[in-house]
Amino acid sequence: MKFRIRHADRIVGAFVLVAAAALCGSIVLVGANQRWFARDYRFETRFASAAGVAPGTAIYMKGFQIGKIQRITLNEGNEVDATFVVYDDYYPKARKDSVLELVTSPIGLGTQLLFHPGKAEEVLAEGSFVPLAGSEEGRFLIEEGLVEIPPKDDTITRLLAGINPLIEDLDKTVVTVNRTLTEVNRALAGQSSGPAGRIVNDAAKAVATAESYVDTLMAQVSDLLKSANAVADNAAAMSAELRDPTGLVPRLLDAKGSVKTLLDDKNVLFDRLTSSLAETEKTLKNVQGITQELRAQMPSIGVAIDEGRTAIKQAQDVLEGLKNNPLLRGGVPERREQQPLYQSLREGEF
Amino acid sequence: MAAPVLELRSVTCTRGEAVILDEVSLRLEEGEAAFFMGAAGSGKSALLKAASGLDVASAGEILFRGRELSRMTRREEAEFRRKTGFVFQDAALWANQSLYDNLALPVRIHEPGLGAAAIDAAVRRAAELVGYDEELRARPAELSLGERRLIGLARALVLDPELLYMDEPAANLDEESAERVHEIQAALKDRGRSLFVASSSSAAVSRFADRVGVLRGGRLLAYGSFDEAAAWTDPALRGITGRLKARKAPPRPEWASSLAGAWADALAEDKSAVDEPEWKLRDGASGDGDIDSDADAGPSEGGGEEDGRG
Amino acid sequence: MLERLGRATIRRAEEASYAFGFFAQVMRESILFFRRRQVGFKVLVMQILFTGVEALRISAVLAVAIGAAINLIGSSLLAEFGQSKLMYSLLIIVITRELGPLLTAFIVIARSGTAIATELGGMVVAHEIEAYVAVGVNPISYLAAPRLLGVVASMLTLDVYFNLFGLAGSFAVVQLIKPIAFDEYFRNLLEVLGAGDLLMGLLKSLVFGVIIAVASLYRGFAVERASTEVPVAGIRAVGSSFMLCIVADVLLTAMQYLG
Repeated sequence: MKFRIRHADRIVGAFVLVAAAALCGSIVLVGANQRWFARDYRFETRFASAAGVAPGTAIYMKGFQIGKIQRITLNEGNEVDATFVVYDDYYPKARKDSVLELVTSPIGLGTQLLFHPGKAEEVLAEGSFVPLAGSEEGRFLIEEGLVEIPPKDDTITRLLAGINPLIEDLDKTVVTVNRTLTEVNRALAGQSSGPAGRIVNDAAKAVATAESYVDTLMAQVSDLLKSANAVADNAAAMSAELRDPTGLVPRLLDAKGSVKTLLDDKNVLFDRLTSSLAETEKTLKNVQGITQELRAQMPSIGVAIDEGRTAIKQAQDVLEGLKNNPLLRGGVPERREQQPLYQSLREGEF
Repeated sequence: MAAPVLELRSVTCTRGEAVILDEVSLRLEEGEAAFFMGAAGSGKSALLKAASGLDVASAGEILFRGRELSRMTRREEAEFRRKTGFVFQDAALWANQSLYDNLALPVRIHEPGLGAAAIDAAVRRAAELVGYDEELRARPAELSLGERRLIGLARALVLDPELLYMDEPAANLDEESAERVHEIQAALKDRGRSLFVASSSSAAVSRFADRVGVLRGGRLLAYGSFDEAAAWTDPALRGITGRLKARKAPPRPEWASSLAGAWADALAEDKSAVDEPEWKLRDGASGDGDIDSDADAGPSEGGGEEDGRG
Repeated sequence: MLERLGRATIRRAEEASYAFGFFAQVMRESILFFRRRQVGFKVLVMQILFTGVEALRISAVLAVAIGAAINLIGSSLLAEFGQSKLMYSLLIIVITRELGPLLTAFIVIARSGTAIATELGGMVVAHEIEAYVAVGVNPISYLAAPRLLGVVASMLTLDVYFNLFGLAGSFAVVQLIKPIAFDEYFRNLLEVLGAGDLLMGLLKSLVFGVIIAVASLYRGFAVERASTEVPVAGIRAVGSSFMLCIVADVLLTAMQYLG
């Protein structure tokens, strides 16, 4: 009788056992690779749009994948609620006040979801909400210094990301300063029909009735006028910059300028932007100083100025052109919708 | 009155459009031997297969001790098979099993509590009964047709059946073997067993038949006692039963009587000689170790030359 | 003509009904296989030996060859398009999910499908099946069930080996021609290998195994009397098994991709 017939039981047993062991081994390896046996910690977040975010999208921290998007749903407010998981290995790094940041590659290499851990010692509770860096809550956490958004590795992204807040701040500051000065000047001249003017008029009347404070007040107003002159000079300089056909705004508005200019002019524009900002900050300090002085005597003036500033924030027509610049303002958000390169290549016509 | 051991009521069998058994009715009482005669193709084998439930009747009823075969439960059917044996005309041994396994399988199936030694004893006794004393390790293909038929008979006898269906049991056998078959028939009759035999041998019918049936074209032309058959005058029947002779028992060889005497209690003894609590087919089911059971039902393959099958 | 058509339709319906009944009975007996005392585990063991163990060599050669070819394509042709990593997906799709089970099925059909059908056909002609019935052995539980279980077990096992040889064995071969780092290869492979791929491969093997066994058993038992019917039964078993396996493969693949 042949060997294989005599030992059929053993041969078949070994044949089946080896296969079973290989199958079990494969399942364990696949399971380990797909994290069947590991615990994932779930968190919630919210996106304005699902573009660039899909179930399975990886979440990175310092270049390491620490989790992924698990589920996305469009909520009643037409925002995208998302559930994401953080792997157990990285869970201790997910601290309270963490934020997520959806970064779009400026050169069309898709999107990347970054996790920035909060500075708190406390570990983020499972199921808690992690805001996006761009959301109100996220900005608050960043401004409060509870979380730090490190500079991006990509130079272009870093530059553009830096320019955005710079322009925005500049925009806000210049508008605020202009409007405030106008209001203050008009109020002080008694010409204003607005709330600030009325308040100033009322204040003047109050001053007239309170003679004991006249001298002090006059001295204060004198100082105020001096400061206001300084502010006006600064504002004039700023206006000149803005009006100058070779100045700041045209250069920023210039479609041919933008990044290339920024990169090629040996930081001249960048430096000018920075110095303009510094000047503006100084001006603001002066204005603050004035208002503090006034507030000490007439708190309602400070309130009026605050109200004025709030109203002024709505009107950003000075730098409207700057906003509409396709590269610097409109252009950056649009890049989020850009398809990844390989898709574009496949779909495009050559 | 006790139910007959076997009763057929208007049994009809068809194969395609052809009717191979046409409304056959008969009774066989306990201990009787019924022999069926007829020309080739008259339906003798078809009758045996229908009566044993191997072929499904398209109409009619077949009753074993009053119980209809087609309505038997699984357990009842197993009991029916345990109490009956079938000797095929062409032996029908399982080619991919050794002779030993051919003989042992019925015992293993119906006596699952029996030990290997007891099975071995039953197998060897059945082989001895038919006069086969060669090596049982051989495969059926290594035997002559006559030897295969003897082993086929031994397989049918191994469980000492109460009703034995035999399809031309002595055909194509040498004289000595044919005589041994006849002696076995005689011994079975002596022990009160019932026989249901298809035979073309007038001599055998003359010696053992209690009842004789004549078949033609699937119809049972006549069925009666041996004496009635001997007196049939119908030319159609006389052509077949004309050579039946008055009964005269031939002298029986000494071995036959001693074997028949010893056989009666043999299986009962075997059952008490259980040396393994639970017999299982997977154990290889060899007898005493020198018989190999390497492929029970022989699942075979292109490379399975051991089984001699494709 | 109308009468003939009607008769043919009735005959077809009867055949289909019989085939379905046969399938149901074989499945029932196979499920009850381990509970029946009369059935032989030895038969099952021998069936696995013949269908599984003896087919391992050809299955392994085929798997290694296909795996090596994909490896070479991946490391040369795909690299030109910067899509070298696509090789791992290709390996999984071809070896694990699609071709592996199908090629294993073809090997088993060619070797065991014909063997089962012709063997059973021969047994019918030699009245061996009747002899089993006569001694009280149910041919379905004693002959069909262990063959079905043996073929299914062999298919599943051979599929696992096909994967082993196709994914791991081919790596060894490619090392001789164009070395790839072991760590890199298996890490990338595991990245694209999902549980769904493994399950689909096994599911296909299971379905193909049942199809091959039942079709071959049915064709074998369908032989009536003449020995000339036996080779015809073998040919029909191969034809039916091929056709049904391909249809089942299409359905399962469609289910996976559309479902």
